[in-house]
Amino acid sequence: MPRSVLTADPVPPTLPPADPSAVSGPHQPVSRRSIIRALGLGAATVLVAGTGLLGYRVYDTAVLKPGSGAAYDPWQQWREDLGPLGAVAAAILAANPHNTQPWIFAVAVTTIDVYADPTRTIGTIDPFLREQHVGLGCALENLVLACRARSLEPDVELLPDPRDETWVARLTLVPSAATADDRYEAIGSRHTDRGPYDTREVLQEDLAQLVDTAELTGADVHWVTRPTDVAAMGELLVDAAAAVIADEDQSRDGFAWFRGSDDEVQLNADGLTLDAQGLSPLLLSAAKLLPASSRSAGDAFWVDQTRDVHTKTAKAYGVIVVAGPDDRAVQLTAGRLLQRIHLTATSRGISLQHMNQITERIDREQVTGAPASFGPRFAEFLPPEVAPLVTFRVGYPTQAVRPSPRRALAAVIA
Amino acid sequence: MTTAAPGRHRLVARLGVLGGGLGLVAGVIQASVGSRIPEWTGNKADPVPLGLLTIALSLLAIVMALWQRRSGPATAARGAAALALLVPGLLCFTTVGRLWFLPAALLLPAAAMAVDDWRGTAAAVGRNWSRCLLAALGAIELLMAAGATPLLMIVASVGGLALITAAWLPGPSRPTLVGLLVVGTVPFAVLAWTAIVPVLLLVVTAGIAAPLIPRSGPGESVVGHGDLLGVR
Repeated sequence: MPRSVLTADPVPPTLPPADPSAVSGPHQPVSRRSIIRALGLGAATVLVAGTGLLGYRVYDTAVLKPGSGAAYDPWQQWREDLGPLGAVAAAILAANPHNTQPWIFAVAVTTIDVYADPTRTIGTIDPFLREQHVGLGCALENLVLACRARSLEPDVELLPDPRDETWVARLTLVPSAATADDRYEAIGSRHTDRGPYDTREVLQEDLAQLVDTAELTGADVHWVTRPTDVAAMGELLVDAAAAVIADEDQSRDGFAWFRGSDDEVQLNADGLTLDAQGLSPLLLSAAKLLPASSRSAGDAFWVDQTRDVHTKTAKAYGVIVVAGPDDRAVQLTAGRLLQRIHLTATSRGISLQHMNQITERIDREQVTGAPASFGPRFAEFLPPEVAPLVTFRVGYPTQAVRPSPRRALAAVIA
Repeated sequence: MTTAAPGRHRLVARLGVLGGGLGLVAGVIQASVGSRIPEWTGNKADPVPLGLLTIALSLLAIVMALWQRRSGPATAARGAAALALLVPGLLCFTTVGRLWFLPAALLLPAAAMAVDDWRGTAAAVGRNWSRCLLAALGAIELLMAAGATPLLMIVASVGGLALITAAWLPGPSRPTLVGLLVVGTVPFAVLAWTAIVPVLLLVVTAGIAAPLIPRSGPGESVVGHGDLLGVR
């Protein structure tokens, strides 16, 4: 009958051990066996301790449940409310710079007001708040689509009060028949795809079908599709990324929005995450298991990804171009166009990644008074008389795209 | 054991039951309203699973606090009881935040008082070190389960408990032990291989547990076989 290890001591502590090698007393010579045993135990202990540390990282960074938790619930809940509040639930899923979600909504019975949140900016990366307003335009487009799907026809008024710079739009809602729209259906599955794109080309006619400028004046898209131009544009993007990380202020302002742990993600429900970097499942796990990334390591990773993945596998670039890049209404309109393109691309299985480092460097050079280097280089790709506002790459995906965290509806309602 | 020991064991039982009981309450609070009082519950992202984990560990502390009164003076048994009070006493600081202050103030002294013979306990732990490591691997798997999707949470929870059972089950047969080790590691490693650590857990477990497996036929006890690396 076997004895229980819990109820009996195999070797009473008051008696000498059964095997002299098990405990080496002061009068016992240290045997080879005891040394081997001690080394084995020590190595095993180190291995278990290491596994424990990594196991904790698995727990702490949500390796086993990426893209889940309360911070990701808005992606599942945006259809639930059939009124204006539900339309806002769709609006908060829009593309926006660094996932800052720079919006506040005021919802009444027949109106929805959209405000810029002046506290949610990316600082020196977007000194003129152009990207912020493009992001607000993206939210506006989702809002319009979601209102129409809810039998509410919105009349959109941009910048209703010139005295209030944060009040960017008012939607006046009139009951109407619900309209079906593929772009609306794509709202919940639209994500920025930072992963590698496959080798299939995106045909010119497919690119043309992504663009619908109906009701949108003052913004257009210019495609960069010739292989030589795509390659040259890639070089420019890599150079711009390198310049951003070399700029202490821009590097710091960008890193401020990086959420390294799952606790940070769930707590803030915003910002850039490892889950949304387009890494393969194995590489994503490895990245999460490593110690939290420093700013310099994160910067280097971004430049490497820009060089080796983003630009290397891009099939074409799109640039939203406008005549007046400083006009807030134009920026909002450009955002609506950008969101339309992204939603249409999503519904057609085409991936898209926003890549704005060139315009961020153009603005930075203007602010600091540095010689303009990126502006002239970028102009070589663009038609005359227009200015670039935002840039993106397109291609076909090679893997599933993970969502970014979103603040709950209650956090963005005034 | 001294003549004062029975009285001390009764005190350990009372402290353990009271501390575990308060721990149960803390776990229920965390699982139910933890997100509404984050300043008290540690501001956790997943209060429900952490509350459930706290409840499970508190129950373990209560059971072992009661069990140690009847377990007699065996050093290993008292060491196991102390460990079962110590682990919840420390670990639950990370699961329910400030709500654990009072339970810990009761469980940690109980853990210290549960040990009759410190030197003997240390020797017993040393003799069973590979089992301690195997149980630790089970605990690591349980930790990973707490942060997993529902399917993986079930698989890893079963796996973690299987490893802990394999570590301390008195005299399991070879098929039983191998079965527990396989259930404890393989499904989790297969389903979550991209997370890397489940595969590492399998490899480390195999290395540590291999010497514990009886070499002869089924029915032979693990007790009496070699400790780590087959050397005792």
